[in-house]
Amino acid sequence: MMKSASLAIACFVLAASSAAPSAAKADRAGAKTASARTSVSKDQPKARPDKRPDRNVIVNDRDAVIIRPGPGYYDNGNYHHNDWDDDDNEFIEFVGKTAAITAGISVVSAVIGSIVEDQPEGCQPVVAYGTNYLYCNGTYYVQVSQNGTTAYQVVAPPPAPPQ
Amino acid sequence: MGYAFAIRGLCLAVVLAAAPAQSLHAQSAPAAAAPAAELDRDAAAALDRMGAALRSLTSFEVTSRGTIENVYANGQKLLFGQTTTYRVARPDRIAADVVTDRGHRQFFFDGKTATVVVPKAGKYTRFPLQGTLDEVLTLANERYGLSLPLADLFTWGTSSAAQPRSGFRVGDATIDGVAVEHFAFRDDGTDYQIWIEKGASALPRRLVITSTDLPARPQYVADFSWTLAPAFGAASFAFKPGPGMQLVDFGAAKSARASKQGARP
Repeated sequence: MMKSASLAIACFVLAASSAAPSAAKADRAGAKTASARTSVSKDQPKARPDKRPDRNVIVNDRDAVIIRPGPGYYDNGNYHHNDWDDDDNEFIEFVGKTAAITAGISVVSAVIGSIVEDQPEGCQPVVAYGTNYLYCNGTYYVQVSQNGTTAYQVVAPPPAPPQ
Repeated sequence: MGYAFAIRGLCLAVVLAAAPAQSLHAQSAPAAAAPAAELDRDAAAALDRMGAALRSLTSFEVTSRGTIENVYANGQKLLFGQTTTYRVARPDRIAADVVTDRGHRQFFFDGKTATVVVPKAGKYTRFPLQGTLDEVLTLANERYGLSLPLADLFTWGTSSAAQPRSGFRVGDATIDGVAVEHFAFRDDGTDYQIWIEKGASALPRRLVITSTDLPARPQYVADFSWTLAPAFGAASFAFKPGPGMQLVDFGAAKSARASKQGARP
């Protein structure tokens, strides 16, 4: 269900998603992991992991600001961020997804209160206002116990950090 | 047998004792040779001069021809061309055209609405924005993940420009027949060099940024050519989609999802 909802949105955004030929050739060197910064003063992502980092990204107890490693978003464990030479469709999808996440909109239309037995893909732990969340593909989960096993319940996103 | 162990143990102890002293020596030697990291007065003054020159321009077009290095999973760096053209009419009109070896993007801001265009795919999206040019670029970055190249051009000379940790004057140079001064600066995560026009205009003619927080230290190089006080048409800053271009409306996606969720029991 979650997957299909996610795909529906992706299809809404994208007519087709085929990598440009030159991109495919560059991939001979593996996935792109970083680019040189193109600006000194703007807060561009410092490190650009292509996989989610092991440590918890998000917590700042003092003022409860949710920190992203840079402008971008996690999708299925992969960190996406703006690249001016990405595939055209990926690029415009990036803008929309980042906007959605910035605005606190779930990219995946998981229904609040629903429970899944297996941990979704691409989760990162998030602590906000003293609650432990799992943030997976734009949806927040809390760990719950169901029939003696661990399950994951979709919850409303934590309150937006103060601007 | 017992002696052999004892001797081996002794040797190990000697090696262990010697090792820290050696590494300490190795570390202290280059530290002593490194020059003090400070921001020289003439370098700081050059940044101020350049910032003031940039702020004094009410209408301009600048084209940057340069290269950007990308780093790949196997550690290899590949170099790509990037040409960025900014058309600017203060206080609140900006249009950027970014052409790389692998793509073409456009960004328009007409004082109220920002539009991002991907001409080859025939798609565009837009969102409301407000503020000074520096603020607009900051918001575009924070909210939409759009870090436009060379945003510094709109930050230098404003209150949000941070002073680098250190900087010094390297020397004189000539770029495209223009006499320039070469300065080198260091900050957290970046080393950067700026070649600034001599004389009254003090505009940057070249910028090189080295990302020192990445192990591969990829570099970005931009050479600028300036057109001051150009004549812009009304169409320069308001994007008019061509026939067949598709508006990707994330607002519509959002409301479609919301109504779908609302229909659930």
